[in-house]
Amino acid sequence: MRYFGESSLSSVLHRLLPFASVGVFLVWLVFTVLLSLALFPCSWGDPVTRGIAECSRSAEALSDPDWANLVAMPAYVRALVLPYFALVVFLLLAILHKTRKLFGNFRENRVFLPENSTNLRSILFLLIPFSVLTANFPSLLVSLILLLVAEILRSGSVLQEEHDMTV
Amino acid sequence: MPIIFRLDRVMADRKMPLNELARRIGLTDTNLSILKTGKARAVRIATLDAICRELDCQPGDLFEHVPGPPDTD
Repeated sequence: MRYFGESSLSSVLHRLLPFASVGVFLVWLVFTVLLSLALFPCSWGDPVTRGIAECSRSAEALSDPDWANLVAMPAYVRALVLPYFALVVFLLLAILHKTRKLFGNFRENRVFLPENSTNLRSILFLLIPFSVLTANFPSLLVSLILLLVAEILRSGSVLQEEHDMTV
Repeated sequence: MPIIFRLDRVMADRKMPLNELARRIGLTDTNLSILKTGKARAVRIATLDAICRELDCQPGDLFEHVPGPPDTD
């Protein structure tokens, strides 16, 4: 399997990542609307809104202690759930965007560039808050590995520049 | 940089155009231009040998040292 250049893994990922970003955005949009309706039920009277609100108050939903606790909380606390998800999705989209840029350079066989090292560092600094917010601690370890890879790319870019400027 | 590459002067003396020299020594015009404008970080011995052979000169004819602060790159 080829990793860099045309018809490689990088090329495939570069093409797939925009779809992933759009998918994440759409899922977030639908999820936000449904969650808003469930957390802040209002009597608009239309069947869809009423159905979602009733579903969130149903015995089955309330039997989930986390959900029951969340619904029982004051409105201003419940209102924090939405920006929390927005922040998580924003971080995820930013990570996907930076990753796509990285794979774009890899696809063009430009591996050891200072720009790639900077991109990888940006991914690292986005991944740390993402890991903390989603309580996904293994990805904190991945962040450390990314830091090492970013350093390798930076050193590699210096060597590549030396090589390119040697005639 | 305190080392100045005098390729342009030697080429002018020999009336050798850049693209012709590049073709003869097997370099691209871009790479020879990098060398001529002094942007190169290093010169391979093989390249120096080819230039000296084609321009009928010594390596010392191609370089000049100008005293100044050391290069920090």
